[in-house]
Amino acid sequence: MTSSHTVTLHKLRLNILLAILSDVYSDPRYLHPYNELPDFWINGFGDVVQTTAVTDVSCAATGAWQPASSLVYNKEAGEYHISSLHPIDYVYRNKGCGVHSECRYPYDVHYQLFPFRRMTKQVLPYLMHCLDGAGLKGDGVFTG
Amino acid sequence: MDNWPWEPEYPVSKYPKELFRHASPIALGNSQRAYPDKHSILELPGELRNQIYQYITKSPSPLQVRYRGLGPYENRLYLRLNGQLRIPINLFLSCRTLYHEAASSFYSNNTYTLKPDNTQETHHSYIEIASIFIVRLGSQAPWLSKMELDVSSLSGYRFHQCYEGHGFAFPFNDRDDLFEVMPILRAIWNRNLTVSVTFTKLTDASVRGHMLRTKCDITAMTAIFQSICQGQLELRRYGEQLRAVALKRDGSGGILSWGTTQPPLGPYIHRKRRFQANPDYLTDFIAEENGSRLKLVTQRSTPLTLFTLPESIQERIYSMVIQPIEGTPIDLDIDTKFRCGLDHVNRHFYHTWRDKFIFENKFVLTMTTKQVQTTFDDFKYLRTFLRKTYVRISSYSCGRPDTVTARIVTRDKDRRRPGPSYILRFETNGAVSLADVRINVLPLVMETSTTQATKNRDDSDVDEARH
Repeated sequence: MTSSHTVTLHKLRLNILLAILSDVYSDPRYLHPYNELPDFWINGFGDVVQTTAVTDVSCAATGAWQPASSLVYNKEAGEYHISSLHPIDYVYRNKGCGVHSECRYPYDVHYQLFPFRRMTKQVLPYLMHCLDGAGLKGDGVFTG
Repeated sequence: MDNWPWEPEYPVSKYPKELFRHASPIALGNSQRAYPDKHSILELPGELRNQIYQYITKSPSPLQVRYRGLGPYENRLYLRLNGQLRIPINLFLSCRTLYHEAASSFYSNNTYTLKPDNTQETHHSYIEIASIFIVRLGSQAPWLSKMELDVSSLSGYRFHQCYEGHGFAFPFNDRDDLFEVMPILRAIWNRNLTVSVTFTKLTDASVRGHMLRTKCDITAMTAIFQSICQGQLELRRYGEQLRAVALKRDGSGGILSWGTTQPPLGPYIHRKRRFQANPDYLTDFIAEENGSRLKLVTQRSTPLTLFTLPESIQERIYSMVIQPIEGTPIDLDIDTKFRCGLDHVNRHFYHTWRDKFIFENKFVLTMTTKQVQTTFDDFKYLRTFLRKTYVRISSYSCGRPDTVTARIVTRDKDRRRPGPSYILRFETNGAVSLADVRINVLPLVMETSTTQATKNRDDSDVDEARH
């Protein structure tokens, strides 16, 4: 016996955004800039049914949160430079404005590149932009 | 023969219908004499009357059809006759009987000449003016006996090629050796006219007009045109399917342009017409015996292959292979490569079809797990798949990295892309309700963030449980 359920991407994004807002702003205390998002678990109907706080000290730049753009670490300077800017970042960052292959960046640059290392203050506005440009009215960030 | 499926002339032209309006025919009937007690010309024998009409209506030299108008900002066309003849308007207006007799003499005894107007920027097709002249004659057109068209002083071909719905009938604009005749053929065939059309070389005194250097054999051209009118090649029976006929100015033959119901996409598709010119379907014909015998060139030197098929057919085949209607399923747990068929045959295919394959195909991406609570391995295969479908850049200065990203999520309503669908499949041993499964979904939402979402279920995330 097989059962199935279909959720549109728009609805799924909306569910996650509402869950993020609920999770982040339910605590009236100061939101640290480097707070990381928890894991959001959905059931087979696309509803967020569980939120699990991340226990790691810091999200690793691998796996799901591996930057789409290519970063090269310079050991001597202890800095990074972006060898290849992924189109997602290129478009989201206003056609690569302010990014140059010769530029050197601190480790923090990981938080500013897609998928933003799970950082709340980056992921939340990014997903809001995606929702805006999800085929509905309003200017989306990826509408080119 | 009278009921040919020919369309009216006006849809062929880019000009408005009003240009082709002609005067209503004068009603037939017997005229009543105003003064029955006085003598009338109508009492004279017909032979004598004809002699008189000839004296009055026959011009010693051809009558020139002058025209002006049809500039870039003007849609009106003015036609007038010019020559060594004072047109007996009063005779035409005397009575219906005299009108029919005198007018038929006027049209049948004179030769009407058109020459291209190279001195003015009229932006017209010269041959269309000739056809408009016939159309405007209305019920008088059958009396027309001789027409002369000057083809010796034409400007370049692009200035007199004929408009055909979605552009021009022939896919070239530098063939100064061609002269299109379809508009006047339509005008003649639609009315079953017996007019004799002759191509001539008149003196071109214009300053701005220039003589084309291509050889022009007007005798052969005239013979070819007459042969077509007399039914050689049986072109008339093809009706709307025949979109254009061009004669070669050297008298060696010509080219036919055929219409298809599915022409290549163009900016000016004329959707009301069933057949539209398709530049992939051209047939040459050759003239033998100085134009009196025409023969289609049907023999191909080499047999057709996939690569030598007409471009529009090639594109349809490639499109069906690269964009199957049923979509392209990809099991992300098994498939490591695109099965994109022709895409990697050669560099041309890759550059031409790669983007179409990736961004206009309907992919169905499936991920499977046996666990009830799962991260789907952080959607690593999906991440690899989606991130590689962008064009990466190595330089920020001259790349075009945003174009591809933008295409994925374009909100262009006219050309909405289907976008991928995602299936998360649960294959568990025991019975599991969809309400019981758990998916860590944030990585999925992030990686699919550039997929265009719609209100309907075309772009969807399908959760499926199987047990």
